[in-house]
Amino acid sequence: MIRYAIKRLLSILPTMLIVATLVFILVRLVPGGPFDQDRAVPVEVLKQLNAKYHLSDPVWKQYLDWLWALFSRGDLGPTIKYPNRTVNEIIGLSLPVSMELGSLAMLFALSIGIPLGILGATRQNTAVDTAAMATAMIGVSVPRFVLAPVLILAFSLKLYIFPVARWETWRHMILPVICAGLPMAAYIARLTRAGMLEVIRSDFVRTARAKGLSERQVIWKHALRGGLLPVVSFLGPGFSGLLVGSLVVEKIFNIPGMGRYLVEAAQNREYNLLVGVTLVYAFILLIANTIVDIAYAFLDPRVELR
Amino acid sequence: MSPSGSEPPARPIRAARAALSAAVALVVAGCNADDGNPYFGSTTRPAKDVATFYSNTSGEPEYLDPGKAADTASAALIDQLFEGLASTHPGDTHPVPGVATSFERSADNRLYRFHLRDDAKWSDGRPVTAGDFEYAWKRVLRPATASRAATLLHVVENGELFNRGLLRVVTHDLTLRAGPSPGAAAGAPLPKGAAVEVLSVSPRRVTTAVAPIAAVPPGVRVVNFSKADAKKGTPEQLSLGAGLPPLVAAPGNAWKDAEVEVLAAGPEVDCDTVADRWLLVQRGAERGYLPGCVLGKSKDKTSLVLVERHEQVPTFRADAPPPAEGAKVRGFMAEADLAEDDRVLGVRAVDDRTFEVELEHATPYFLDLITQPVTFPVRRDVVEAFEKRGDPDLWTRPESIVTNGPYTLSEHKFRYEITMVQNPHYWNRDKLRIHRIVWMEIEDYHPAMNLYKAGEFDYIGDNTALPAEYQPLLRTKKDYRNNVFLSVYWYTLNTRKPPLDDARVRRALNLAIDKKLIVEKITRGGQMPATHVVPDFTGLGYSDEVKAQKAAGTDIFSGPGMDYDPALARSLMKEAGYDPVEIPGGYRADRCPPIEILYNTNEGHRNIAVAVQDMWKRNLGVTATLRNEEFKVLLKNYRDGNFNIVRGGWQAEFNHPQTFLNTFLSSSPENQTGWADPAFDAAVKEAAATADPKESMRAYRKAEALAMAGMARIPFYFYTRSTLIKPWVKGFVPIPRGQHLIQYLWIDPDGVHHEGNDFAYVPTEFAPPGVYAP
Repeated sequence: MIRYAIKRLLSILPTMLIVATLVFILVRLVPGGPFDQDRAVPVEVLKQLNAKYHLSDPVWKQYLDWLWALFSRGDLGPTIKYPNRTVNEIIGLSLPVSMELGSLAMLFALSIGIPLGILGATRQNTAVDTAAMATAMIGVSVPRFVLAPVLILAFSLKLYIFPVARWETWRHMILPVICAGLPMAAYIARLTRAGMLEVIRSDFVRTARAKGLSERQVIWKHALRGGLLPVVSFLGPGFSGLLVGSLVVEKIFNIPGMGRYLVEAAQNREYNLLVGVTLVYAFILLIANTIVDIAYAFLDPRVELR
Repeated sequence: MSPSGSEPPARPIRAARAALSAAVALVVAGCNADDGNPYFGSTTRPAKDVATFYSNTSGEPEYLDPGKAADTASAALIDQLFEGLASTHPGDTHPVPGVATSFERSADNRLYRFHLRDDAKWSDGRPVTAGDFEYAWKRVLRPATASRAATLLHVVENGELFNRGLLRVVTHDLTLRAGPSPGAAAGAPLPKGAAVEVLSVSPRRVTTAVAPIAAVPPGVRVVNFSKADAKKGTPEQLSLGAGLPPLVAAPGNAWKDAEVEVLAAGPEVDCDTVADRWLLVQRGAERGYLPGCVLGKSKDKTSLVLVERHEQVPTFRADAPPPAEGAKVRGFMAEADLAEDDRVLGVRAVDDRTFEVELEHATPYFLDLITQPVTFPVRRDVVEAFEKRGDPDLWTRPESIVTNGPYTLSEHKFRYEITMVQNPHYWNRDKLRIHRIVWMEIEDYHPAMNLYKAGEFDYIGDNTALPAEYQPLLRTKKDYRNNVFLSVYWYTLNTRKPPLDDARVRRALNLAIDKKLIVEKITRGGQMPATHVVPDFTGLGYSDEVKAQKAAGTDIFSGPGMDYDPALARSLMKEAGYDPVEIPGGYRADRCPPIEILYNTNEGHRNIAVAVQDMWKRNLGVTATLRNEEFKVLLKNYRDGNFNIVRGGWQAEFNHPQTFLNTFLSSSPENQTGWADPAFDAAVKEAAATADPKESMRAYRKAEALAMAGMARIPFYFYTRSTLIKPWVKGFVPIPRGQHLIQYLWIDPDGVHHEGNDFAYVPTEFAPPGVYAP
């Protein structure tokens, strides 16, 4: 078990290295550079700028220098568009915000999605089930860029309950968390329902029922653990998806998170920032998956970790 | 909505669809419903403090360093933090006294002397001196600063050459080695401190030459050849002139690792790109031609540079005679014997209160230039302390920055919020009614509009573009302002490629575009259709000239041949040999090759391109294809000349026609059109040198007419800037360019009921300048 965990954690390192290398090279293959702007700049000035950021070196040298800085000092390099911030600083400022938003949204999604899914499964093909699944369907189908303006319009501009944007107090967090979490909640509800339905039909549940256990005991003690397995396996990609996918929410509510850097850094040819942010996401995804796999073993006695 | 017959009867899907359409309807209704409110959103100010102003920067400033900033988000902040020699009037941005209270200038507009106020102070209490300006200007132009805004200061004497690292000073007395150009003075002495212009650096360290490079023998033809030729080893016979046998290029391999003497060299070209030059070399008694690239690097660390003595140095004398035209002193020298020396720049602090500038040429817009961030002073001790630490960009953080404007930085939350407070030592601090400014950094217009609507902004910010779809609604609101803005939207044509190589075709394409329709139906922000490139409302006398010409009926940019005229366009096409044939519903011009319109991925640009495509098809039968590219990719293709027609535009750097016409000069790096006209270049130069402002503007109009006749760019419209300002903000007047200065604004919490719109205070004006005398 511990050996497995260590093995998994060790395998993260090479994976990240591959990701970093790929992004490092790919982003430099795209035409255009970080200093391109609509107004022409004298060639000599461009040369100075390129030299300052070592962009005139051959790519292999840039790569080795970058690797060395990363491994010796944990330094992801300078940024170009924000000359008085480093990549480390930017990630340090924005990652906690994204984590906060992502975790809250995940919590929200779980606390809505799982009960809804259980409700649907235990009352399969009743009006309750249909209502629960219809709600879930809406949640999955309505994109966040539609959901967000509607929420803002209703709760901020008409009812004056919540602020329209920004990330300050808990009141500022409610709408973005709902907005980021709702589609996720809907998806989780559907996963839970499907997982529960499958378990409820299985032999050990039938046995439990035959033993004369109450329905409540059957569901909570026996079915739930197995029924939630699909949800658990979804948590890893789901969480990192929330971090990346909250780009829209971050934009509409102007939340200073990390989601926007993925797109922006690519657009601005902000080489170091793009590689840095990609690495962080890769790391989160890999760690989340590892944790999920381990959690799986606890939940499902049939799974054995090697 | 799609017909329901073919839909599967799945209820959840239908429910979702219904919800979606309801949601969209709600959003649209919410945005466009006229709730009877004459204002857009809240009319009562949620914030109580009338000395704090809430606005928006529309994004993280790239630099708060005035010498390096090149984007508008930065300028919006720097304009509040620093103050230049002159500042701008809040009504129409004309220059008013800033740190300088008065100035003198020479009759030819080339020399300026500024007198600085003695109560101007930095935010740490130290006085602002002329030396701060001298340091700031020289720093911007220093090549190592690598400022992307430095081009604006190229007007300073020797500014451009110095900034490009081409103007250096000799470190000790030496003798030039003779250069290859005919007529060069061999063995000319150069004293220590002489300024030289670096014409070229040897492509390789040509110190394999054992002796000084000799002058080109008379009659030698020096030729360029491509790198490919060098690889192939194409022999080419070269004549050494009368009496000498023809020489064959020396085969590279036979002379491998040989030490040769370079006798002469062809014109310099960058060895790392495509081409190189021939070198005439000698080994023992053998002579031959070698490609320069073949010569290896030497162990010697210094390169050989070809220099020319630069006679024009600042004199700060209005009556100084121009340097004598004589034989140019030219030759080779070691690069190591050259040093950078900013004394060649035409700026100097005479004493703490007197700052002098010598310009390269007469610069009619110079007073406008000194209101811009790139000319603002910075504190040498603060900047250099950080440079020494190796963090040259960190001095602008709140804990370190020292400013001389009305405000100083108190907090900077990266990509979130910037707070400024009053500079306690600002000379005019008693007049300020806003003591604190909170700038939220809202990039997307959705949250910006929402925050404004909720009353959290007093002003939505100079750089927030209001979306076209909101314009019809907003136009009915009392807090909406729409004003002309010094920018032009144009298409740049590549005149190297047919059919665009024919000026008649270019003019036809221009005449076939209904620009009025484009601004009314597509951009919808009140933009003005354009028949030329300098906006009619440009300052410093241009707009007066336009008005006068229009009143007299002599406006050269309206009327036949200027306005939308499909018939004339067709006849021009016919003249050019692309006869449009009438077909039902339009025209066909089969012989005209299709033209590609390239634009950066953006809905607005696409809509315009589609309209143009349709107009050309309908009016001329010309087929246009559309291609969109991400902005940086587009820039690359544009700079490489890889386009037919590319979407572009120009935002004025200063309030003067020169900023627009500069981009058409044959020497301009902005001119990627392939079009160049010496007559136009000369006309612009002459207009700039004309001392009488009225005459000068007339000359600019004439020059502009030459550019328009070439039609290397099709102008579409002059911009407007529409914005939202809460009724409780007073002292706000829309301006044609740049950023609003918060120091002139004030808050009247009950302002919705008060009509008045006075400035917090009215700035003084410059007295008419005296005459510069040494």
